[in-house]
Amino acid sequence: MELLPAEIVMEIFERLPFRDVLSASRVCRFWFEVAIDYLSASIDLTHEHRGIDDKTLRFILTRLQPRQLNLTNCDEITQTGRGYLMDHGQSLETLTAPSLLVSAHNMMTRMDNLTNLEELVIKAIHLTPEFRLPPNLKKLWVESQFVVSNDWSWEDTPYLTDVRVASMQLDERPEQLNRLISSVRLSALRMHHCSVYVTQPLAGLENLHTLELHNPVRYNFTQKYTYIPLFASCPNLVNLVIREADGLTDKMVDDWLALLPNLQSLSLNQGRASRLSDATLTAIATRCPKLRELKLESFLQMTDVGLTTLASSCPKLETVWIPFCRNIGDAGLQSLFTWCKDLRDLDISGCTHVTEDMIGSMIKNGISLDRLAMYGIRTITGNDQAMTRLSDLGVKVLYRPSPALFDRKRLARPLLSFPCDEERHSCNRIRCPHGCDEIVRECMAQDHAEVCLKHRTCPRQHSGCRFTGTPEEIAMHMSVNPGTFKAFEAERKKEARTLSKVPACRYGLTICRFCDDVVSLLERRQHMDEHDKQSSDIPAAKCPLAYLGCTFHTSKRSPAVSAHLQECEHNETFCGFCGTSVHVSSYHKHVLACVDAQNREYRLMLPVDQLSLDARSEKRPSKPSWMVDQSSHPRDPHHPGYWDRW
Amino acid sequence: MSQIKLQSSDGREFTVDAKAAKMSETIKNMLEDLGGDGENAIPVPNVTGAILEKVIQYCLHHKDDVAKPEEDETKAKKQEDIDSWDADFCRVDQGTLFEMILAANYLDIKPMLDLTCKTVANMIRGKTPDEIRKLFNIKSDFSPEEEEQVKKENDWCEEK
Repeated sequence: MELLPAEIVMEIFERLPFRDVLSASRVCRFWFEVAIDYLSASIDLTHEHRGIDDKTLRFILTRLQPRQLNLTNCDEITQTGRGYLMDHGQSLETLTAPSLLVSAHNMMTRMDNLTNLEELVIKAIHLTPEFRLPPNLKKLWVESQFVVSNDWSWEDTPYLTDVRVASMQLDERPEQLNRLISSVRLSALRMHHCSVYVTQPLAGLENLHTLELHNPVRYNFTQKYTYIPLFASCPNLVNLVIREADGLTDKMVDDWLALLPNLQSLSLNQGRASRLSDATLTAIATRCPKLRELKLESFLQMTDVGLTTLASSCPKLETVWIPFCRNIGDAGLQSLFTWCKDLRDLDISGCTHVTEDMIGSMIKNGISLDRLAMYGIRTITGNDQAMTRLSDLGVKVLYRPSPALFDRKRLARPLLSFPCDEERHSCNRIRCPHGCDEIVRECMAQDHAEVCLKHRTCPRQHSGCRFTGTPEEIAMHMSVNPGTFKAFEAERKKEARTLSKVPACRYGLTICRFCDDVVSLLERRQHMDEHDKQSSDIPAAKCPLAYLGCTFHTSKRSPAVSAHLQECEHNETFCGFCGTSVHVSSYHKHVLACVDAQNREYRLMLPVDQLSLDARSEKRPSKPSWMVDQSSHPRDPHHPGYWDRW
Repeated sequence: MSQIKLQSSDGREFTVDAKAAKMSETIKNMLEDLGGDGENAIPVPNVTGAILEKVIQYCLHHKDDVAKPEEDETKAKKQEDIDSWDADFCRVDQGTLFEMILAANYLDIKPMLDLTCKTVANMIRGKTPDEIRKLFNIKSDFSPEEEEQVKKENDWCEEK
């Protein structure tokens, strides 16, 4: 073991959870040095069996000083831990903490201490004037809520260029967006579930080279006057990604691409309704001659003719992904190979019309692919001769071996009854008799049972437990409290060695409000009853917001605490629409008022003719203008007005 | 060219299926450089015959495997489960296992390096430093004071 070189020891450490690397570091001096090298580069706590607590975090930050830290799934870090992060995180360059909420409410305001931090991934952020972002921040990814108060200024973070935001509505505070854009020099902007109301081109987006719109909010996505100004303001856009965009039409794509002459990479995924046809390909061909990368998914109406048009006008294409474009055949691919000599990466998964002839045209045109994805094309992947030709060309082919080759075990088993015709799926479907709620084909039930009985999931899956095992193991896993597990395990070892490795479920625990003891959910009732019996000894229950400074306490059981929470002055949240701080009890009322006020602003921002339209329909002032009245809409899809809504 | 000859450091010759041999990036590169005529045996200087036999056994079993996408690889690294054939394959004494790691590293066979390292990692998993020392027969070269200090620092890792 001592003979293994450092690189191998490092490889072994990479396959160990964090805690085991630490105990391995104490084995000898050489391992200690390797472990410190390994841990000071990056610590990833995503796969940790047990989450880490504040003390561990402090140890990591003060002693190991990692450059990259990933805190995904570490939900046990409290206020104190966040404090450590602020005080001792100077070594961090990348911090990934998707469960971290950053706002003045939880006192996460002193981030200017993190001088080396360049990449930050967090759950939510509320920027107020007392807040200090890390000064050298380049990348800020917010997974859920992004709220900026009106007096916030971006001047302290001059290097910030990549902002990724989920659920921020650009129409909320246009002046905020303008300020963000004009002072931050964004180069990449990603938005999830966002709605955009932009009536004029925005200044400051000249540097933007990547724009990603994931699940754009549908009701305004299809409206012309919101997206055209946005695209018009970023002429240097190089990468455009639009995913899950329901209601995209050929005309819209053409209009938008006309504004983006420098586009080099385009990825379109149009969600459920596939309405784009060859006209889109023609639009791409005429508008984007510089295109290098094209990813189109499930374009059912795309044909060989469209692909030929595209290939002939975009000769620089290197990456073409057209999975599940089922109407594409050999002719389309042949023209692709004829025109695009730089092609390196091709994905034709699910294009079932493609035959072995494509390999011939590939060789003829001298195309040497690095990667070829062909999932679901059995005519080629099941043909040994074709596959040999491909591997001789040096192509890395991605495919799934056909089941006949794959499942040797099933072939070996004697057939007790006639097998059903798998191709046509004609046999009966039954619900799994072992209770996993899956619908299985009758002929496959036996195979399924083998898997099902071994890999049942813990019923606490919904709260995050990932344990799987046989029903027996599951029952044991759930009945065990981690605190008493060791004793339990020792006892169990005597009985059966096979079950001793079952880990305890740590998702079934709760904390007693009165004595701060960790109690299993199974034993909670008894625990509370015990408190009742010795009522004189019940210590005071604190307000759950005590960490924010609330001093409320009571010697009564929960109703008193929940009544207090209704009034507690610390129990405030911030409104997702206007960003002001609101008490929880009046939150609902506030949001209703807030949305109402926002609607008035929407109306002011609409073009004039839209305003006059609204004036005519003034009888329904309570409904926002963008909501289509469902009752008056024709239900019949053949009715001429049916598609107007989309 | 479907068969290739390999020569181990102690002079033993093996005839292997070309596809299996090409799982090793090192041999693949050698074949390309030498233009391999199939007649001369390719020398594998750092690997003994016994170990090379094991390597070839692995390659023959896994030559038809599909390459995993790269994102999956990083995810799979931290997982402990090992295929039953692979687990049997790694049921050898420690010395052989370490030589297999070194051979996989030298020959650059990624899945085999992954498997063997994972096997060692699973041996270490959940053990205290003392147990690890005993397992691999390593002597601690820390001074008692140093050991005490390190132990004090990460004592929370003991509490289970």
